[in-house]
Amino acid sequence: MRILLIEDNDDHAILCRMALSEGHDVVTAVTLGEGLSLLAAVDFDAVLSDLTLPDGEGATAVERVREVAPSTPLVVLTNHNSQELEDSVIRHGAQDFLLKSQVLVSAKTARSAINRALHHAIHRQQSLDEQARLVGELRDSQLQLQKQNDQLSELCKTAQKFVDNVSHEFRTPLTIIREYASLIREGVVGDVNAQQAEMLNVLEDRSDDLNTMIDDMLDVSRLESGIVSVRRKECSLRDVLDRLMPPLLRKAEVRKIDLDLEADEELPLIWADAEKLSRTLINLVVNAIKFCGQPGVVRVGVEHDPVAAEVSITVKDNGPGIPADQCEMIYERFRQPVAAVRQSTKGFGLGLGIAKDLVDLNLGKMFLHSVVGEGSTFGFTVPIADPRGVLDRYLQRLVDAETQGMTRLVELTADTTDTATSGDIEKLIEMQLFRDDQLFAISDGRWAAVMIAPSFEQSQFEERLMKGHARQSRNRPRGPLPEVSVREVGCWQLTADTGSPLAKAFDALLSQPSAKPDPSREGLAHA
Amino acid sequence: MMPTLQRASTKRRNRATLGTHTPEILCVDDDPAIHTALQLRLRDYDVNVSQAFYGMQGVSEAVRSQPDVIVMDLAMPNGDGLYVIECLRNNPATCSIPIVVLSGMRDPSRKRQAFDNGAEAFLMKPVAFADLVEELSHYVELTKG
Repeated sequence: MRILLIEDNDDHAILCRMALSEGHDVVTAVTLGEGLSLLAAVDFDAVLSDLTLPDGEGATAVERVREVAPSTPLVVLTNHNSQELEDSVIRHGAQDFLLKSQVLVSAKTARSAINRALHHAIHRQQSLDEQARLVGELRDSQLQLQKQNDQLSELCKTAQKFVDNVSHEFRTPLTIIREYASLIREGVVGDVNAQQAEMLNVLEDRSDDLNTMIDDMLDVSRLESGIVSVRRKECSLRDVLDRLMPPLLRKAEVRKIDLDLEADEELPLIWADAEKLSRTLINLVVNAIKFCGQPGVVRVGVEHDPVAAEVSITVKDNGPGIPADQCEMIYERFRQPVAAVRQSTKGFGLGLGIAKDLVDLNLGKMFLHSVVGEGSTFGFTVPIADPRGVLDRYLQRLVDAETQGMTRLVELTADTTDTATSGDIEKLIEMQLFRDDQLFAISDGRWAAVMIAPSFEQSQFEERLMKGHARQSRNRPRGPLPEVSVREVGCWQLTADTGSPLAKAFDALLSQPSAKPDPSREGLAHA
Repeated sequence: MMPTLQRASTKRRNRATLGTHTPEILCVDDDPAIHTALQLRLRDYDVNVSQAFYGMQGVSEAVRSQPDVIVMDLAMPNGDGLYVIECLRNNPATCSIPIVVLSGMRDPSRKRQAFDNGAEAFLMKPVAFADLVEELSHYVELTKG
């Protein structure tokens, strides 16, 4: 090994050279400057240096050696027995620290101590170099990962946009195919015989299937990226069913399946995003139609549970049933039961997974009872339109999903008792809310909004609302909208206990008579 | 159907007299088959349907024929739907005509923009005809002719 010895004391230098005489090529420098020049010019395997040199002392000397030779193993020799000094030189990059009073006592001691120290120093330096190399590699791969991640997000956005555009391109011809088939079948453009009508029925039905598949494709990518926005509000389950059943009945008729709805005429009002609820029910019925027996029987049932304050909607088929061990997996993407599909309608196997996610967004639970050989009943719950109960479910869902942030309760008031105007304002407020926020209409012209955000700036929300208000007022054929006042009622960190203080404040809001907008606060229209 | 120019001259602007005039619907869509379907669907009603096949034609047609309601697509050549809505809203001659968007796009941000720009309703293609008629009946009186 080639070793650089920097030592200004002749006696010590001789002892060190003697200690290193076997197998080492030792070059001696008597000042730090000389040592540094040598280090810069020649490659050394290790440096053994005194710490009290005429032109450099202590940690400074170590630092300067390190500047010139950052990765050459370095052992220092000193007269000062000080822990502080030892720590300092090690921190500045020396690998070992030898006390002259202990080492340079005899040739034998010096030889064993210096050789051992150099040996260790070289090993330590090697591990340090290896560590640095690994850290470098890690940093490189981290950068690469970051870059790939950015590229993937960009690709994901492009793909999302592509799916959106493709779906649009699909829907326009689909609208025409469906509408023309329906117009011809209804005899609008001339007489059709029974067989033609039947075939046109199938044409309409299959285009509905295609449309459902497009919806599924869109939903699955949106649900997975968590960008589905949901607007739950009071709605009539009867209306939803009246709208949904006719096309589903036609579908069943085309496939000679006995589909029936068993529901009371009077159904309670529910709290849901009607579009998501419809998609859920369509997916479950389409699934039942696909997997029911021969002859096929599908029953849609609706049951009101006043105690749980919810409605259960079930779809029962007489298909082969699902073995217990497959019941959990049934919601996975692209999975379809091993049992044969009844007819030629396979689909993607996305429907049930989507249905489950949509039920969750609607604050309900999905369930499945299945008996092999008898059939399956898929069902889900949806809360009835009781704001207080809905609030509890909503908060519980946020807690279950480990959502982080603050919950704010905000009261919004507008000087109107007109239902249509209230509806327009509600639409406007909804548009300024974020994905997980929940709006409650208390009465015409009065709302409570529960907002969830890492930080909430009331002024930002008002600013957005104000901009929307100005735009809508300007464009509204029915004339400008009345002013909207925003009042923050309270703010709580979201935890499992948030429910109680928030619910208390919410109850107070519900029981308060309609308050006039605070005259001290400037209305948004004038702000 | 009466030619557009003729109808424009007899158009009543006062919505209070809706009951005494034939409602007029302007359909703006680049697909002619959509126009045909809408016309066939509405042929039993006492209503006139006029047509425009691209965005800016929709604006000029609306100015000219002063319809009671506009049914329009969003993705169209020569005048994207969102821009067309803005143009209609910024023009004093058309600023108060209700606009019903009929689009295959389900992107919530487009929907929001359409409302922000001043659309009254947003229906998805494929639309159930009954839904479209119900929506239109908010703006015009549809009676079987």
